[in-house]
Amino acid sequence: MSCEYVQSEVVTIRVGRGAKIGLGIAIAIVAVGVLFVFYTLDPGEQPIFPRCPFLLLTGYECPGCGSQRAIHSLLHFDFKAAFRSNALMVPAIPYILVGIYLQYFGGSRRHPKVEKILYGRWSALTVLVLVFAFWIGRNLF
Amino acid sequence: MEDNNFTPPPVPPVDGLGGWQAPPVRDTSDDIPPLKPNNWLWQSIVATILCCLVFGVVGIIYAAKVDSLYYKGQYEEAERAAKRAKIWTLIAVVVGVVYIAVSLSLYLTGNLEGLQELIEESASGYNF
Repeated sequence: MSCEYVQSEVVTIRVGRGAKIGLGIAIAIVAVGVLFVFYTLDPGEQPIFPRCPFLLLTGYECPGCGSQRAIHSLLHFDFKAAFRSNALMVPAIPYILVGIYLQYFGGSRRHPKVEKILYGRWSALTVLVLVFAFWIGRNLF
Repeated sequence: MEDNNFTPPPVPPVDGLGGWQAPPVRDTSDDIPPLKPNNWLWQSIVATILCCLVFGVVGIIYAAKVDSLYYKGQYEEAERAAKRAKIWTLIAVVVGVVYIAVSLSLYLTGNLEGLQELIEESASGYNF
């Protein structure tokens, strides 16, 4: 049973390394480009930013609606406006960054307790409840 | 002089081969729990909040299932839930990227209004 995991890990390490570094650089370049576009153009005014298909289909906002405007506001350090555009987005960014550190930069080996608390069973359920509460609440109020 | 108080070390009782009993060897190979599968929690949050797609929510539901099943000892079920979490998160990301690419290319060619009208028209039947 456990042999399978060990084996697959060895394979990924062998294949990885060079390809992983290249992929990381590519992702970083694309991310910087996208952030530059989000910094210079305002998604609230420019029609080039795609609109949410869920909003177009149903007329209701989804949990991700307003995140493009929120990114724009965050890049200009306007936390109030970001919070108004998508309140879930602001706390989600540090949470996602910690998740990336734990998974890809050896964080889960160094801080297994942090991973268990922040990304374990109860946190997954908490996130689920938060997303649904935010989804319903933003369409009611 | 000679140590008269010397007492020989206790000799284990020997009655043929039957006297010696091998210590019970327990097969522990099945007792080691497998590694907890990756539950894709933060990835599905990225899909839900950044890609503006509801499939990511399904990913979060399965992420919650992975951990509760794993700590109940249902390792195979946890493994299956992890696979579903991965699939739904990837669906959300792929659909999101395709949607962004299509609407961007339509905008650049000046046909974006058509796509948005099409979505709104096709949705009119389900709009309650």
